[in-house]
Amino acid sequence: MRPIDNLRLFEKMSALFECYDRLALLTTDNEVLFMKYATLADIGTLPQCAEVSHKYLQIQDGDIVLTNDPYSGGTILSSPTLVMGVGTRNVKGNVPAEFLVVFRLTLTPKVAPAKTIDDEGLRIPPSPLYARGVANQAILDALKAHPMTPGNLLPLIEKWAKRLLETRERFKREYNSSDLNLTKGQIKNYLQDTEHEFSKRIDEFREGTGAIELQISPTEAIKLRAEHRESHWLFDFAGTTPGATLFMTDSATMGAAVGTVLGIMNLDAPINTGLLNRFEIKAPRGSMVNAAFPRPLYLGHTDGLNLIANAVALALGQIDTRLAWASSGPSYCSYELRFQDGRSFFDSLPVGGGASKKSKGSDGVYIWRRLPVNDSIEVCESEYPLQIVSAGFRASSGGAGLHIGGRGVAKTVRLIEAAELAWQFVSPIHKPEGVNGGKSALGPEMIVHFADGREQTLAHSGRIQLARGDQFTVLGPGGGGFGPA
Amino acid sequence: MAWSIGLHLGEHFSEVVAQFNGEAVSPDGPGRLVKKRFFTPQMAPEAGLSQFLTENSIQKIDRAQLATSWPQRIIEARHGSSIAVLTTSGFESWLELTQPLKTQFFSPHPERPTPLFDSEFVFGVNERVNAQGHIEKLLEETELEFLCSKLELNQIKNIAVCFLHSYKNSTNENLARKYLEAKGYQVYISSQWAPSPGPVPDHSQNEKTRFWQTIRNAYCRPLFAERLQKISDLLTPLLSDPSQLKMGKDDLSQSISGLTAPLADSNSVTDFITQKFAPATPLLYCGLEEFVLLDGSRRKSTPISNEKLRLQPLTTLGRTFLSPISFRPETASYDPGPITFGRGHTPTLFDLVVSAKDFVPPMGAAEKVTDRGRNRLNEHMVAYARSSSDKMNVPADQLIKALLQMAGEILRDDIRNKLVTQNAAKNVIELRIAGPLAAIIAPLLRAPLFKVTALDDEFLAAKALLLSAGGVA
Repeated sequence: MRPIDNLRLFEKMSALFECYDRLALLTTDNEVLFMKYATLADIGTLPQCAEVSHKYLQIQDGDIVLTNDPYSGGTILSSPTLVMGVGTRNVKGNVPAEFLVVFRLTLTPKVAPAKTIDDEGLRIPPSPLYARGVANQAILDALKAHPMTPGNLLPLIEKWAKRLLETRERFKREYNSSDLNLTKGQIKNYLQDTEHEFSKRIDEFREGTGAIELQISPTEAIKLRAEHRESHWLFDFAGTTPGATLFMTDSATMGAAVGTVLGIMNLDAPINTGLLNRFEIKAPRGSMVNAAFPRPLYLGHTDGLNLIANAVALALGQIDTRLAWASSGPSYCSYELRFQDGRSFFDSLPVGGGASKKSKGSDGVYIWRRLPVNDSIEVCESEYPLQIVSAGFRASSGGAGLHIGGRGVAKTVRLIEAAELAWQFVSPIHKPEGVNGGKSALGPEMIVHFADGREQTLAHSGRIQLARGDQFTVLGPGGGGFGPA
Repeated sequence: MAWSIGLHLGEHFSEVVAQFNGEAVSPDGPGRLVKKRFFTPQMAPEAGLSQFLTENSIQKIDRAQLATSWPQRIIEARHGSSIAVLTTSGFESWLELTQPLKTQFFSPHPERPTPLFDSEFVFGVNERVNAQGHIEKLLEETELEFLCSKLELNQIKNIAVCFLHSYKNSTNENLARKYLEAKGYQVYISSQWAPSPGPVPDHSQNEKTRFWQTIRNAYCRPLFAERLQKISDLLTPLLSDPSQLKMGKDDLSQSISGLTAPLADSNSVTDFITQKFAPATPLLYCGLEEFVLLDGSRRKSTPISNEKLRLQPLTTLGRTFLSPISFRPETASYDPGPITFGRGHTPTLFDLVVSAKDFVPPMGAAEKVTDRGRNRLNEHMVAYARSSSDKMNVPADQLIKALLQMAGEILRDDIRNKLVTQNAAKNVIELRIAGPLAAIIAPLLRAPLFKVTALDDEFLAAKALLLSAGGVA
């Protein structure tokens, strides 16, 4: 009973990795077997991170590699990744890893308008954190000594590295008792059957091509040609301009394309090599969707990937109208308040979802992100010298249409102590597009209301010093409408 | 001397156990124990209870301990009342915005659960307490006057008052309550469930927890009270001391008022089972309506829910990406019923369980399981197997066996993940198991890492309540 065997394997892997939110399991031959993701970028970058780490450090059983470098398969600098080797052979000495477990942590990001990746914070290239289950004190000491190391990084990576090593013990025990059936034959069946089933699902949609050009700013545009042919999806970004404000890595771009397709196909499918075999992504080197070191990546790997998702959604809608979705709000409007006593408050806003033939857009949601959010008003006001004056849906921000786009979110914050405000969002000239005659939604905006009565609309990125009593309002984008109103 | 009663009121099954405490009145002598389970879609709880009392000539009761899952079910089924919500101006849509998404995987249209209130009846009022508990804007009655006519027009009688930082200073919430109660409304204020401020801030307790608790109470209390009143009317005349009629942690009359405790949490049977049967060793209660993992040593109960541990008795079977048949995230209801009841359309774990060889369905459910229903389940299984080309062309009983085996593995892994804080199990997991479906679940859990002891008591829930009502084990 192959389907039941596949299911049991999937359930086993789900149970084994239940306590992890962002994780992938691969063979050392780079076959992806299992994945849990929280962002679009995770889908492409978790495997990439394992591959790069193993390539350069030849990971053995019990080794753990630490990195947060987006150019080595990371996403943003506040999401460090641990790659652990698991070998199942009972031999003395170094046991070569047969499997790689990649786990990603989520720390609070820093919002900083930056010219290079190193302006965004501490970048850690793949580094050997544990060797055969033993901590590498030299690396830990170096991190401890570095002035840019976030305060909670070390305790967190130590806690999770230990947990990974415990998972490795359980993995081996279940593998050796055949509870976890990861024999070569079972892996082959599992990947083949996933690919076969995914091909069948793709074939339910019409074949064809779609072409999209999204103008992001006066000098930046994403060009995309999507093609569905013979149970394959091709996404070709040829013609996309180099970035001026937005930069992404090719693996993050790939993750955005795959995740969006699965979302639009409404598929709760396991992401593994079988499924990924049905995708081809072409991201020209040097363009904003495959940026070269040392471009800054925070904005690209947050808001930029939402733009890729919108481009993919619009192109799919051209191929088959059943797949048509208006654009969702592209920007999370990330901002950070740095108070004089060193405390730092980070926040971002959910967006409005695009409408479709079947439904209106969702109001105030993180469409392509499932990270935990601490959005309690009382907690924020108790921990930081600020008061939230209002927070709720942004009225009329969804695009009009037969089905209206989802509303974005509006939030107004008053400062009780002086602070520096840093912020980043995609260029306000980009409005989330409606489709099939639906209207575009309102784009992101940020306005400062100074205590002396002055008002200032902020550009897409920057820093500003605010005084006690000043207020600012963040207006998150809505989603595009569908069909003529 | 008279009887002690333990009564568990479930959504579809209610069970009652009574013990006579006297010496010579009962023909069976002291300690006589009688029990019954009834299927409430066919017999209302008060009718079933009345029949039970008559059948056993119970005319005098010393003490009765009740527990129920009704508030949760009213909320889950969205059967509650229309309510209005008053909140701090500027945060009218905040409650809706902070509801977690139902859709776990990526979707361009993530959805939230159906709200418990109509957004049209959320009103912002000018009031503000700051994070230090100082009143920045005192609530004025004029703020509330406009509300009353609108609420009257829409026949809304229940109001949840949810003001920011009210747990630090409840003056504004109390002003609102006083004014609205004087106008005849039932008012629920969020500061009622405020945590006591401790030296270390507890961020799990914030306005979201408090506001939703208030809203849930306001939403489910009218129907809950109506149902509970019928039980009260039946039992109160038999009690020498009406204060000995307890619902959850409170007197029944207090529970009916709905103002004393979070209704959805405080009336559950799980605390009683934990206290009586799982104070130190974890227990898996395999009820007809829910599987609950209880662990007194952690002083909390962990419902095996769809979100955390997956399988419930009515978890449905159907197509998933990897297989034409597997356990789905959804659960079914006993009304119209699982397939083996001969009326439902979707196979469930319950159907697999009652189809297992040699398993005698428990009282209350046994009468509902029909041969026609079992045949329909087999037909479904054959159809599922065939829909997977030739890869799963197996007889129905073999498929049922494989699915039950998988259910056991899923439950084992779930329980293990719940009980073993660290991933690597260092010790064998000791687990007790009881309840109406325990006989079939227990063998599925046997594995080297588990030491399972079956308590062989399918009336465990009602018995836990009976023990709290003075009964003797």
